[in-house]
Amino acid sequence: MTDLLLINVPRISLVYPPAGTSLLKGIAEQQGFTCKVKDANYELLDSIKDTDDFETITNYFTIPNAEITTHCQKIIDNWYTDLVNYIVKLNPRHVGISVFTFECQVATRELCILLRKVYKGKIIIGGAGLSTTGIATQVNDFGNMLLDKKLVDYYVRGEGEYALIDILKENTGSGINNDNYVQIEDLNSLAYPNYDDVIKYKYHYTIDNIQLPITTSRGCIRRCTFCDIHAFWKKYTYRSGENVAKEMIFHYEKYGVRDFFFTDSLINGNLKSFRQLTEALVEYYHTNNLPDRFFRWGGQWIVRTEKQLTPTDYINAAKSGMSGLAMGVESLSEQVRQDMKKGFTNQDLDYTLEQFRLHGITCYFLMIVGYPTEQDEHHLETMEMFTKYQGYAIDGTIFGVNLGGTLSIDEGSPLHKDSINHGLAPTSENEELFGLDWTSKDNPTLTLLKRINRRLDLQELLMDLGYKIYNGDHQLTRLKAGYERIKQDTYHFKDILHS
Amino acid sequence: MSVLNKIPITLKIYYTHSEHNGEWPLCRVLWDNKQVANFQADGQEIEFTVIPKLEGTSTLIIEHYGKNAYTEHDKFIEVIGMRINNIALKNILWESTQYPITAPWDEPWQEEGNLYLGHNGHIVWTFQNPILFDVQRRLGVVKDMQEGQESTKKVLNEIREYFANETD
Repeated sequence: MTDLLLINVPRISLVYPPAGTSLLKGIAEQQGFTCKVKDANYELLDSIKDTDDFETITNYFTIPNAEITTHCQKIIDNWYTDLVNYIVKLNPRHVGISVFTFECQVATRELCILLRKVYKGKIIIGGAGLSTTGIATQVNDFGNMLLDKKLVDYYVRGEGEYALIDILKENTGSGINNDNYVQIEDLNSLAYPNYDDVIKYKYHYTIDNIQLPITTSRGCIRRCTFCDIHAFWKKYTYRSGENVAKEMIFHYEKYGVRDFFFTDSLINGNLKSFRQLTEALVEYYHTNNLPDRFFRWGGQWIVRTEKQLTPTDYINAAKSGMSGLAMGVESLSEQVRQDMKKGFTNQDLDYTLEQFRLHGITCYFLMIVGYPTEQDEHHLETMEMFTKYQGYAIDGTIFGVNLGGTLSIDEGSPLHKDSINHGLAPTSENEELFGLDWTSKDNPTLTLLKRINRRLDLQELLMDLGYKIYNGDHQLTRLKAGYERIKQDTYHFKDILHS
Repeated sequence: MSVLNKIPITLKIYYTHSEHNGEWPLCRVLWDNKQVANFQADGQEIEFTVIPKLEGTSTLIIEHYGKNAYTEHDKFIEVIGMRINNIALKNILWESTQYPITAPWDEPWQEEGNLYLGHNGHIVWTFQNPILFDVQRRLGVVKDMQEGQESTKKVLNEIREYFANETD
């Protein structure tokens, strides 16, 4: 009898195998339990070839009260039936459903309702989607709702590695049906993910090869004012570079995979570990007569000073195959970045970009338009700096820019927690400070409309300059929808909670 | 395309040349048939700034002149690199045509991708405007986006039109 079946449900990305369920499979097997992973998200979404159907079905899972056609409803019903039949036939002791984000809630709830009627084992849910309002918020609305309705036996808050094993051993503990989860400090002791059950799927990889996710750290070393990560991961924990390199080599030797995407908030948080990783990979190539850049790996990157990361570090990183880095630049105004506590200067960014160019490392800018202290001159400065950096877009060093949907104030972020000192307030006295709906008493002319117009101006300029803007259509459409909902007073926190 | 023709671009040409043997090689650089540099090749690089055109083509010409083919056999200049706004042109460097000036009794000839100017003559590079987009395309660095990741002027303009009617 299978001890544990882990299921991914819609809607999550199809760009590579989900990391969490395969990691938990590795952990469960390390502890002597049998475990299977079923990526039901992939099985449904990959089977839909018609783009209109795809949009309708993804909207059904992600947008409250979205309309659905009879044809699409039938596709979804059949998918649920097949999935439930599979579970009943396998009859595992436990079913674990990954609620990766709030966009997985619809499928999770429906699946639990159906399972309760025919499946006698225990149902576990876990993931950031237990909270509708983000990983950092303490509002565990979805987990509590399903537990209260007895649709699940357990929810797991926080990291699941230890809690899941406790459940399999029929123990209780931190983070199981409670919010008192404890952060894991020794990430080196965790098993490697086991992708055996999903490696066969043809994920929609952004490159031509199979790419696997790797998690090397949790949390962040910086404390940017707009970011809520510290409310979830109090400490920055990380694996040694040797441990990470061994995992990459393990997957290469097991599956032949040479491309990896690091899911971390930053891959150069601990520089000792970062150097260990690049050196271990280069040494592996040399020992095995493999060329430089034999693996290709990337993730999120923070800008460092020349003193922190020397040109030699960049040479080693390039040789080890590092490229395709996402950098949270946020603003090209040094003053605004200082207000955000980003921790790097224009000089540091200039240095980083030139090192990337010299060593053929590509990067992607993540931007935030309309930070509360952003004045007109700061916005112009950002536009001027993008003009100055145009060459990096032309030669591919900056391969893309994500302008985001203007600053959203998330619960758990310093901006939210310390909103009074930041001079922030909701636009209506009767509402909570939430998302796009905020004003700044220190910068009162920075209305949502002004922020949106700056966002539009910047996209237009960057497209003219030859930058590749990612997700612009989707973000602008959502921005317009958010603006309309604020006007209609249907935007707020209370409007989306499951309570 | 509103800003592209307003921002000057800087071109830098890197070269090597014959040893000094009485005189240095003489060179001119023309951008869209206008002289932008005239120099004796005694250094390693020459830099100049131009205002790009928005449409059509632009040509860059490097001309070696003043060589006495009878007495200055060893005089030459060779282009070894080129940058536009500090962007290395890499493969584009060789996407050029050389037109040497030959003796009247010789057959005129031209050669693709030959950056060594031993004769008097010139090398021509042609670019489509906006030039930086042409460089971007020819460098082959533009990645295809997955469905759903696109950013189009159509949606941008639709959203801009919507917000143009909004007031605080």
